[in-house]
Amino acid sequence: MTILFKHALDLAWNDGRLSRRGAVLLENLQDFLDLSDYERGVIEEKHSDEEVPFLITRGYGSGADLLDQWMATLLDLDEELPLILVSMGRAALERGITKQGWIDVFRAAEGMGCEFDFARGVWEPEYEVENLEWPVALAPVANALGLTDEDE
Amino acid sequence: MFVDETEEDDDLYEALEVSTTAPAARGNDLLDALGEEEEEEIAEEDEGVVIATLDMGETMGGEPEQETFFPQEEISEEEEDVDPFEELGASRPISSNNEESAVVSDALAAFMDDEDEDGESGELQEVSLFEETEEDDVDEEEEAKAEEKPKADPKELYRFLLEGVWVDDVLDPAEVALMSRKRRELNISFETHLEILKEILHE
Repeated sequence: MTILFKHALDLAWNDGRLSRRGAVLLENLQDFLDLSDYERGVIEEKHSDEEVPFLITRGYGSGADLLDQWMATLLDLDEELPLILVSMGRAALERGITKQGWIDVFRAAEGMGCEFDFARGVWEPEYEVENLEWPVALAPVANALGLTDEDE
Repeated sequence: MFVDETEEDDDLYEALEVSTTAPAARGNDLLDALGEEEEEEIAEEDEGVVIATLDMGETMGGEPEQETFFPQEEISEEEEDVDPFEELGASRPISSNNEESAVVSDALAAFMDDEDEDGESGELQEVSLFEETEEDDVDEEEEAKAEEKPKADPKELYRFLLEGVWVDDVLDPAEVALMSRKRRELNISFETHLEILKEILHE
């Protein structure tokens, strides 16, 4: 869930400013991911220290629209999300999953209620997995699993 | 016969001009004779000694052994009647020794009793110790089995293997296949696998 909320912050601060609407969407996402205030605080503090100072102000918080669209796409994956995560997990295993990659994606899958499916894709080789293309909305997950380098 | 008469009258040592002194004394005399001018005086004294010795020898030889300070009868009676320990005052020490010995004997008896008790208890202890050793052996075997049980605990074993999977920080299909096989062998459910994995990664 950390990688998902961080991705949401990047979208909300896309033009160098955070709008009120963007802040409200972040609150909603925190609830959706069942993220604690402490965990959110840790993520936001790190983002403020490492990302915000280098942002070029280009607008007035238009990133809220990007965040809203991303969250909508993610929520639309409701039934497909488990299968996609299984497929992503298997694909990542064939490349080799780092410990931190496993931890980040597993926690993100927990936030979306699909941790068991993702784990099966990784840890059950006898489980048949359909090879699916993952949507852009799951780009943070793909990045954490190291699945984006070849695609890019 | 002539010889017998002369033996009765004259001393055999004088006839043979042989000294009756001890060889050691004669050796000392000879050493003295080789010494200073007082040889002659010493020699005269030695002769006197020799004469006296001869006189003693005559008297000892002439007189019977019965002429002693204590007659044989008195000695025999004293030996029969008198207890030498009583005359030496050994009766008190004996009595005191008896008391002491009684005390000592009591103490020794106590020790002996203790020893006996120890011996008895020792025998019992030996038996009991022998029995305990058997029981200890059984206990040790049980403890060993009990110690082996945690080692053979499937979850712990699986946890150990799972920790080894992340040693190189990368999980590959071969390691996953191994862990899947181990789950089947150890009857570990996938849910349990996830629990152990969480515990490992969150430590």
